[in-house]
Amino acid sequence: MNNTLMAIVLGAIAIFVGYRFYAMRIDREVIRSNANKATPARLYMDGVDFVPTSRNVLYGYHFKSIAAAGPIVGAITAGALWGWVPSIIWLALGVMFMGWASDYSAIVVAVRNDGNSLSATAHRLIHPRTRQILLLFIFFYLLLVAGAFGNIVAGVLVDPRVPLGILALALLGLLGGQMLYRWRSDLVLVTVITVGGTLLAVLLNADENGPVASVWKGFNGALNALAPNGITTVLNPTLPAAAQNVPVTVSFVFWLLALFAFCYAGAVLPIWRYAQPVNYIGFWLTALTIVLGGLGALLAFFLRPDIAVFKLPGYIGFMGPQAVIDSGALQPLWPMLFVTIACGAISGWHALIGSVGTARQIENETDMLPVGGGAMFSEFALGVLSLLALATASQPAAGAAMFAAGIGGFLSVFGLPVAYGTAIGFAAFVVIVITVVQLVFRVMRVTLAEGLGDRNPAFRNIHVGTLISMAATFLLVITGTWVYIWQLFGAANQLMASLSLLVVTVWLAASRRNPLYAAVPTVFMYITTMAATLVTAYNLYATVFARQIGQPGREIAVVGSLLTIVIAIVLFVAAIMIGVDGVRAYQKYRESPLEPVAAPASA
Amino acid sequence: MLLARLAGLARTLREIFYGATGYEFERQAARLRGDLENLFLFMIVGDTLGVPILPPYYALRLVPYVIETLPLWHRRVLREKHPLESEEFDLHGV
Repeated sequence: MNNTLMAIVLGAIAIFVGYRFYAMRIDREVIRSNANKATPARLYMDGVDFVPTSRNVLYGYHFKSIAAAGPIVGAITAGALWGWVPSIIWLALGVMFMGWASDYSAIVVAVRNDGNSLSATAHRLIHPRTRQILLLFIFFYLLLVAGAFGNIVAGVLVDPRVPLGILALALLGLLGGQMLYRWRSDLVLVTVITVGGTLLAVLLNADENGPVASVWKGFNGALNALAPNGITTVLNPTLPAAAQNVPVTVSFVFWLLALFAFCYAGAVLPIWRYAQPVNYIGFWLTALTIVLGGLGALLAFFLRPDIAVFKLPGYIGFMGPQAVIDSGALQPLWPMLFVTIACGAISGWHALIGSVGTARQIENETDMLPVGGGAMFSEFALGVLSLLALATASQPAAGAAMFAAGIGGFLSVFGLPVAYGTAIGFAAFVVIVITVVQLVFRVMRVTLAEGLGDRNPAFRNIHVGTLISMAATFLLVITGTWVYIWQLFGAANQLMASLSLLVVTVWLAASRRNPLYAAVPTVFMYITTMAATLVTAYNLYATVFARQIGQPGREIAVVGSLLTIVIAIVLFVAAIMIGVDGVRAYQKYRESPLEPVAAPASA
Repeated sequence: MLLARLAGLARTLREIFYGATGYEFERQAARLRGDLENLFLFMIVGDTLGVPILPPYYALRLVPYVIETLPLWHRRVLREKHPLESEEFDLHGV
């Protein structure tokens, strides 16, 4: 029973049942989407922001916009902590009852409110300060994203099988932007050159004993020789006690700075020049890996049963692995599984940020569910694939390495040597994470400018804003314990989901619609994520701060854990304020709704 | 019947594929054009928004060419903007 086919079938059933019997019913009976009602795209068709677009095109665009590293890293981390059974159960139940509702409803609210964003609707319906609080929330959320993903990418770049592909990605991204926008080259030609070149570089670097990898090994070795014991150490309480003090090597710091250089270009150059073509190349690598990996996972059951069977335990324990329990950290399945899985089940980021662009292109109201809800169900499928890659990996390793090894196994079903498949898995993982990080710095810069630019014009400078964001991220990566940063990120993301669902709930109440389908997920996610934030703050205090304060040479770790605890408290307080305002607004609109529900016009 | 369904499926997959690949560039190009159009209209008819740039004599001569886009342009410029809006189209998930 514990094999890839079983998991794929379960996933397909979850999607079918959730979409067909629940999502469609809500769309029909609560929202009452009406194909004859004019959407903002049709009303304000300006050829720039408001452009009516076919639902299929929009689905592809929206899915590409939301699919990223969250469902991959989250599923891998959760599977390693609690086993694949609780992970797949939450992935399925979460997306069936909450994830699709969050994404879909954000689009609905935007479409029914003139194309305005959720934060603009929150400003109008809940409280004017909600928008400011959300901005603050978003900045710290982005800092956690950058810290969590930056840490992973820097760690993976240290692997000598990886750097050449990323170097090629950067250079070919620049070339791609130049070819497309300046030289007006054909997109097919640009794709062949840039994607082909990157893939070639990935394969050239695939052999860990080959010439290219040897160069990187020598380079890393020379760097580490500068400080053989590392620059500092970070505490990782999830490891066995003897290995918990992990040195931060010179090579790690070098590749972290190299990542920052990559992202600096993405953050300050015009988006068409670098960030967009890099994302485009990255999308191809990731899409090929996902599609072929998914097919391989399915076919493995029939062609290579040894690959299809799970090696990961189904259930490790309510409090996680023994090493974690021994460390004194709390990792109870509730609430921590839910925030560790993050975007594979539900994501506030999609709802708060990613939906407005899509909402302004919705041609018919009946497209809202297949585009918004459908894309989220597809993201769930990505989470399941990542879990399968982890569960079938033959040798235990760190998260990214297990994912790559799992993908290598799936691609070997098609005859590709495992080494090459694993290298492609690594490259796809790094690419999907790195494209997130470069855009995160961009958005952090914009958020800083928006929040503080009026008080001090220096924050409006793109270089100042980017450097400040990178400095904060560097501090977080060097001092922080990765698993806690990830869980705090997950908590912030899910908290944003509950807050966006809160806005939706208030809007439903204000427009005399039954708010239950949004209100129940709101309450569940709100309580779960607030609890997870407190648990993570406790873990930081008990396993990092309290153990290391006063110890010589541990000052950086102490400061880092303290800063992360402060971030947790800030997010907690911000969420309480929004929650209180939201509940008050809900009660107000329940008593006196803003508008009657108009009966849908006959077709 | 079967052929028609397969053709429909192929068209759907093609559109989804386009949405995930080239459509982003179409949007970006439209935004770049929109930015240039903003600049151009500001120069010509900026005084309709209280930003006089071009002397009215010249502006009036160009009004017939831009009159149809004026309401949409006003709406685009004056619409309340989300702080992160300019990054949304190309912003990827997390």
